[in-house]
Amino acid sequence: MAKLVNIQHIFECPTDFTPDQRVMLADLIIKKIKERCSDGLKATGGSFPHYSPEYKASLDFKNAGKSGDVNLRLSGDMLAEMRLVRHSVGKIVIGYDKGDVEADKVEGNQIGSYGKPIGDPNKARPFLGLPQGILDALISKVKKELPELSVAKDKTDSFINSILKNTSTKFGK
Amino acid sequence: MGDINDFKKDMDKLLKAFKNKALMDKIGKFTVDLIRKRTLLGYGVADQGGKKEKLKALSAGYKKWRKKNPPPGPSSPAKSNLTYTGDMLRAIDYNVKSDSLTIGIFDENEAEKAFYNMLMDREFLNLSGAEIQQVRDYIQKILDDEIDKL
Repeated sequence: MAKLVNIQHIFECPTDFTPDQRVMLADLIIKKIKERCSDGLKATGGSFPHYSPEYKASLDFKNAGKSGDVNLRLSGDMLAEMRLVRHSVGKIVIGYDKGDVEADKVEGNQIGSYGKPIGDPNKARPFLGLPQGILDALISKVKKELPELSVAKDKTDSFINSILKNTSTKFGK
Repeated sequence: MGDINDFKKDMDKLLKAFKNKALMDKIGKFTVDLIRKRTLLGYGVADQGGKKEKLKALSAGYKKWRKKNPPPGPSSPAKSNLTYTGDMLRAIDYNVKSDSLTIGIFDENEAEKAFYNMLMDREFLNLSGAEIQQVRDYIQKILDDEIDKL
C-alpha cells in the first residue's frame, strides 16, 4: 500500500489555551469542516470540482441516492470518522490515522489520486482545513463562551447517549 | 448569554421537551436509510459498533444464474449487496416504543431471508462505529439549531 499523505491537518491555536479549550475548539472545527463539505466548499475556499459523468452513472452513486451536489458523502462514513487526532500547546491535529477504514478515500480526495499513484490537483477535493478568518472566529467563540459550550456539549452528549443506549436491531416481530 | 445556571436550566427544559416521538421517528428513519444505503453499496457490519466490511462475494454459480436472470432491483449480476428484487432491504423499518428505538425487519418472510444471510456470514443490520457517529451528528445538528435560539 502506498504511504498515505495529507490525511491530517494541523491547526494553530493560542498557546495559552487549556486542554479543555483545545478539545472544544477541535469539536467546533470538525463541525465547521463537515458543514463546509455539505456546502461543497474546499478547505481554503472555492468549490469542489464536479463529479465525473462516469461516477454519476455508476450503480453506487445511484444506490447512495446522491444528487449532483458534491458533498463528499457517499456512505457518509468518511466525514463521520474525522476526529481530533492529538493536541498540544498551541496545536490541534484533526484528521485520520493510516489504519482507518476511510483513510484511502481521504487521501484520494485531498490530493486527487482516487486510487492512482499520483494525485491530480485539478481533481482534488481538499477538505481538511479552514480559511483563517473562520478559524479565528471559532477561537474567539471558545474564548468567550467556553462555560456555555461545555454545558451544551455535556448535556447533549448524555442526551444522545441515552437515545443510543435504547436503540437496538432485530429480525422478525 | 445570561447566567450559566439559567443556561443549564434552559438546556434541561429544551432537552426534556425534545425527547418525543417526532424526534425518535426522525432518528429511526435516518438510521434505516444508513443501513439500507451501506448494504446497497456492498458492505456489512459483523458486530455492533465495529467496522464495515465488504459483503462476502457471490458464488460463481449464483453469479452465472444472475447473469441469465438479471436482478430487477438495484444491483448487477456480480454485485454482492443483498439485493435481487430489493424487497428485503426495503423491508428494513423502525419501531418506537416509549423511549426505545428498534431497527429491524419485522415482516416474517423478509426477516427469514435476513436471518439466512446472517447465517451465511453476511450480517448487515448492525451499525458500524462510523454509522453510530453519523447518528450522533444527525441528532447533534437538530439540537444545535435549537440551542442557538437560547
